[in-house]
Amino acid sequence: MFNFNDVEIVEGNILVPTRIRVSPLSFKRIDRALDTLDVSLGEIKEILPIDKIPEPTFLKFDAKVFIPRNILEKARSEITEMVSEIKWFNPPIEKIKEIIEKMEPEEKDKKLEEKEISSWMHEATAEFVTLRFIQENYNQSNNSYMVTSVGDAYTPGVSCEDLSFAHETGYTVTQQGFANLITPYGKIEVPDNDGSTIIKEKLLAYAHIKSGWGVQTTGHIMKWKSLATTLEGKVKNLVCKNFGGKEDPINPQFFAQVTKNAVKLIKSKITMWSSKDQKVLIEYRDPTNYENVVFKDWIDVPAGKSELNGICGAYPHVPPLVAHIKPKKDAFALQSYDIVEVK
Amino acid sequence: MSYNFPECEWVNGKKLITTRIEMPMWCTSEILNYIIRHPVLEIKLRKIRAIDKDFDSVVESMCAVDWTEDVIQHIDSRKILENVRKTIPLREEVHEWMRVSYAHNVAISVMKQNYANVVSTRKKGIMESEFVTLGGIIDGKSDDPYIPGVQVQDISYVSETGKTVADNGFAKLNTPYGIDHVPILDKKTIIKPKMLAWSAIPWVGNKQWIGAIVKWVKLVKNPFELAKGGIPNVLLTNFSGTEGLSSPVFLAHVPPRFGLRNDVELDIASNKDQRIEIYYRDPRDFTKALCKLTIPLQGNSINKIRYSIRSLFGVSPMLMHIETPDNGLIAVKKFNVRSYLFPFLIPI
Repeated sequence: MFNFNDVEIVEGNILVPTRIRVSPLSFKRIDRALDTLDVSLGEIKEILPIDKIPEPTFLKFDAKVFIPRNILEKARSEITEMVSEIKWFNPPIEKIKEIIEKMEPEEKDKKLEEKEISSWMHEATAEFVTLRFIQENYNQSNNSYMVTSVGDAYTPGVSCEDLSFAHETGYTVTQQGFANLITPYGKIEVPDNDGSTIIKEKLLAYAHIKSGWGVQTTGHIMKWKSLATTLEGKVKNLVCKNFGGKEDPINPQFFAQVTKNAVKLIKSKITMWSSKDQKVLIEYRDPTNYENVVFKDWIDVPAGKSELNGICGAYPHVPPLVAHIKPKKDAFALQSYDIVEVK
Repeated sequence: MSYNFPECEWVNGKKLITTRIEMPMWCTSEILNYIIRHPVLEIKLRKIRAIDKDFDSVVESMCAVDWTEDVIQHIDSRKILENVRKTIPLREEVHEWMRVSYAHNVAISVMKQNYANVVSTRKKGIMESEFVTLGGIIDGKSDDPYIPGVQVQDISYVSETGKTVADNGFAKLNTPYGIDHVPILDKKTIIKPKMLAWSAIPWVGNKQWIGAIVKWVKLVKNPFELAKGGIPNVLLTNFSGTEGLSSPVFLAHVPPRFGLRNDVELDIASNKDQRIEIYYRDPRDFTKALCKLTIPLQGNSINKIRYSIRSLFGVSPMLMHIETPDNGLIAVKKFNVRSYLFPFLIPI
């Protein structure tokens, strides 16, 4: 069973909610279980320092699928150099943009009516490559599904299922300092050159907008449709990347901790990789209303690969929980999240 | 609630988001297997009556999308493009293909919104009534598949230049089932065992080209009767703004109870005189067509169509696939299915 219907009406609008597959046993008497919830996180254990594992090699990246064929052929040497050095996980968006710009430059000499390529497309392509990489990896867990969309939010427009950027010029976005994202819950302001995590009662998403002093704006939307859960195996390959901007906007990640049986205690084990020493936010949220935070903590994650163990207990049983993870500085990947039910 | 497929599945090592139909309580997998094993379906058109109604007035009464305010909203992107060309001038950063693509996106949004917004009332008691969401889910997009690229859910175009696509005569569409070839300046309805989508390539340039993808995630099922608007298809215009490629409409034919005969009431508004084709397909494998009906529609009218489907082994829930010719637009205003155990038709 799922926590929400596949189509819901909120505030008179139709919403396609973010859903979690839960076991009916663990969903019973959830209010009581959430009230008595007790979470305890252990000490972080460093497994490998960053010089031993400079890149999270466990992630999936298929250059042939993600990068435009023409650009891949032209820039093979540069890309191969990047692949061998940094395995494509960590190239800053700027670096990808640079390669695309070099291979497919803006057509400045052409007449206005004949022009096809302009500068915003380089930025958007770099984001498209990165987003597909994040999406593909998120979808590796069972039942998990994330959808993404990227492009010029002014013309031709960016929308992802029931979320769309309003049709606003780059000038407007720069002037007002934000872009409007239209959601079934109403308009949400996404700060310019920054990202915004959208957490509503039944919806989890992330939007990012970048405007220069031009008409165009590059925006992207990530929507978690079906969360990765621990119901049928572990959650794996969750990627957080810095998309560049004022406040180092990094996308968050969401997944669900769900037990098969009604148990009072579970042990969890998180294996993660971080490019820098940084603080990472861990929140557990109520699966019946994602806005309710039931547990919150910051953990100090060292650069490289590390492990964290935790314990979660509640009466009459551990409820399903939505985990929200957000690093503060730079690239971060959650290799796996596994639970053991203590009977 | 039970569905024909789980929400996502692994196909060829790729994650597939299936197109789902909500199945009725009476139709267990055993009954469905039994009925589908004997696909002796007979479909018979009984009556068509056209009532004059301006198609534009049907479109005007459809629910609007709120991400765009400065252009008219329509399902015919030719009409939107006329307006876009006036409101968004060509600039250093805004090229012609982007304006065409924007017009497509507005039209696709209107289609998406109206597909989701199907709500019907159900009697709970003598005085009470309950709103039931029957809304379906469609996702779609038009953009340049070379750079930045076009992806809708699990479907994307292979990123090639316009020249390569033009030389080949087709573009490659990447789905979890493999690569599909979509002919340039043409459309293709993608029907896979567990997935329904539509793709169109209305323009190809030297570097850039326009590629659109529409994917059905959950189908709208009967019964519904919409006083305003309807469930539309969409028309994506070419560069000149004169001709357009029309998408299909997918609905779920769900008999309310087991019966040997289903009588179908279908009200369709049409923008022109056209012949539509209705295919009925197996809900467990959409590639299997079970029967077909061709219906002539009168333009600028609401066509009240009544037909019967009969099988001596029972009529199962099915996928209803309505295909329209190019430049054809339709809006389904009413769709109702009645089940009868008596298999023979009563003249009306």
